[in-house]
Amino acid sequence: MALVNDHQRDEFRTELRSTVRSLLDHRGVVARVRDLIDDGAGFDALEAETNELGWPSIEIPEADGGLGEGFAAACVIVQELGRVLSPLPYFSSEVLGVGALLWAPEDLRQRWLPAIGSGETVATAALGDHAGIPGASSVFATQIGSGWRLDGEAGFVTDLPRADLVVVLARAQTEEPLLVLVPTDAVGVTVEPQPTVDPTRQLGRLRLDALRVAASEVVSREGAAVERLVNRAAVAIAVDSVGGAERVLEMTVQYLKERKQFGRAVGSFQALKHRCVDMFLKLEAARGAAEHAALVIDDASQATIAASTAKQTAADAYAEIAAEAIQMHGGIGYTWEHDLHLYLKRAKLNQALVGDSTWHLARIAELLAATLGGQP
Amino acid sequence: MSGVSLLPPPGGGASLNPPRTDALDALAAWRESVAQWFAEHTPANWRQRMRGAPEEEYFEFQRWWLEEQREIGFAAPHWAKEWGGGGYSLAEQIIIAEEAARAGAPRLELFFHGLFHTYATLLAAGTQDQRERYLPRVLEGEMWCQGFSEPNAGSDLAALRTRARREGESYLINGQKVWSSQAAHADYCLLLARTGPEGSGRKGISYFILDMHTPGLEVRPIKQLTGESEFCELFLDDVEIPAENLIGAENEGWGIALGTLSTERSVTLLEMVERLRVTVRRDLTATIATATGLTAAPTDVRWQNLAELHAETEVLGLLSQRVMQDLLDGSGGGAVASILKLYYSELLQRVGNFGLQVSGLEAQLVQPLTHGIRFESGDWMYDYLSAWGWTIGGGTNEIQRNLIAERVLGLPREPKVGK
Repeated sequence: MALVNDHQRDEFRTELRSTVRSLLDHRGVVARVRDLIDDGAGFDALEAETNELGWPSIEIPEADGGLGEGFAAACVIVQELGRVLSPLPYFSSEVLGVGALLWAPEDLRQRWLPAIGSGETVATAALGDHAGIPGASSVFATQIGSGWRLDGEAGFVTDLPRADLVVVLARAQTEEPLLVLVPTDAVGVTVEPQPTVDPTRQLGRLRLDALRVAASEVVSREGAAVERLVNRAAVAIAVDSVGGAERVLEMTVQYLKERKQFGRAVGSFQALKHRCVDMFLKLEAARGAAEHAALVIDDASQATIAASTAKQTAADAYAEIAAEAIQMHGGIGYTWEHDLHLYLKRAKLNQALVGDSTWHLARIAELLAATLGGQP
Repeated sequence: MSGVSLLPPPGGGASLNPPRTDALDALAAWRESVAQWFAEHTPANWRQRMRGAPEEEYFEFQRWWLEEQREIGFAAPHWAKEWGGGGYSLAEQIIIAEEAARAGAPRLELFFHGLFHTYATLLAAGTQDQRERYLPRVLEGEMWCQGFSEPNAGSDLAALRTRARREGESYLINGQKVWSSQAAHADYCLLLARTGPEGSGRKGISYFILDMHTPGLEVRPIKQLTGESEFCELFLDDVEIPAENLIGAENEGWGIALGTLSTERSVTLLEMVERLRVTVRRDLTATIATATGLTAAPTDVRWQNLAELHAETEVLGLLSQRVMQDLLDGSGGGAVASILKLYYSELLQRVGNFGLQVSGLEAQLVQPLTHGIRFESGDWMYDYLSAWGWTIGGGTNEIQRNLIAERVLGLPREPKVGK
């Protein structure tokens, strides 16, 4: 790849970030997350606006009506959405839905990409089992004629309550993986919301009961396709975490500059300054890991280690930074009125989504052990 | 992990290799020749040879390694050719540092001050006569030390009290210095002393070259917690320094001393980062494999901790690439180097601590000291103990945190205590 293009991409992403941020700031997203909690008021107008701008189609090739950018550009949007605690189904529809279909057979691409790209169809993916462990499926696939019968369930599927289409990871009797497209209105599909403490994401449990799907609905039967999708999901959560953590640190530094006690800004006390620097170091580490992982997502030789490193580093950093921020804000940080608890709750959910740190560290450990020619 | 995973067994590498910059990409072929040079010239058994070796043998070995590298310009890659250095560009210096780290080559520890501080200081503020007189001899193996810190001037260096009084064509120095590394063997010292009145702070400090063989100078080694004596105290009692050994103008030493903590030193830090990556990937992984017998699950706490340290080390690698990019762009600020130093030094400490923890009682046994391989000797107790050298030395991490809080985050300074 020519480096000139890299620089152009870099510049493009910088511009994209500032456009996205300015739009989201003007729409006052964080403030409206509260309306969502209080009276369920939707984000329909903002969603329509961002669909109009082509956000969900950012990775879809221009030939298919999209913007033809890469995953790193999508991650810019994901990060900015994380910064404002967005409840838009972008992670589900773009990162998972578009991500699954980009490498799908041509007819599936033709059928679904334009609809997802325009926002008309909301997609998601069920890549885990009933407990949401990535890559471990509790949906069983039985071959019937040329098609399949699916039975089982998957838990903690993001945006499932409102999704039109789910990419389901199922397990055939031969133990091979199967990624299948399932419309949520099909007979044999049950969707049950799983309300979480974090009000900004909507999770749900998917039950499939003798659901019949044609062979034409199979996206992939390759383990590598599942791994790529899990990696995309992990990196996106990492990037969302960077966005949130960045905002939380800004709020904290700002507060410490303004809040005066004992005749001086509390931010001049070394005990607090040093903790801010530790938060800053965690944020910069998370940013470095997440940006790198987004750039190498299609390079199979390093995508997995980079994705797991990023997810573990960034999700933990976000949770630690948000927790510190509440302590450092004192009483006001303990109130419902302040936004910090919303960030903390999203951070804690991010830690648990798409594999917790134990899961990702085990993945790294396996790679390290493999370099010694053994298995841990 | 619960259930059967449908993910394929992990493939690919275990390290993060960020896309390189134009400047480094263009040098890919040259990098290979550097790697090959180190592969051919690094004595395979040097660690074993230096394990428990007498100090004189280590000095001999360092001088040999200096000579070996001098011809190809790797002893002083950042020095201009006219002074006998390699005359390498910054990108080339970075490559040499990285490849030396990957090859596990010894560092030129004994000559560090001469190669870095003396060169940068004399080039920036020395006279042509001073450069001609001292620089060539650094590459011949003359050793330098630094006389900055004092018992009551550590983090608050500008409070230093060692006096320099002008007497005719000389200065007479009286006072005490501490934490001078290699001073017991050094030929010269870069010395800061007060020429201004008491309380003149940064504005009354001058910078001198002190011949370590001058009468009135007493050098006492300080034994460190590792058992080594890398540092010394200097006692100066009417020590005479010829006026021609003043560097720059009188009372302008502070600016010179700060200004020469230069770009080249950042390259050293990049090298240390690269060495730590190798340590974690190779030595620490092997230690865990031995401790667990490769039978434990990847959720075993030891593999988990290893994976976490690995993640942190690789992220450190990415941060150092960013610092390097800043340096190459000419935008490397002091704060970025502070961030890297903090992150590196505390991670180094955690790696040593973990290596020690998983090595059991075996690691508590007294081991012969391996010269020249501080922080990555594989003797986890020694590496663990050495790591405070990085968290305290070169401006304590607390000072670095103040610096980042004020310069990067914009937090207010601590109010001055009234006098």
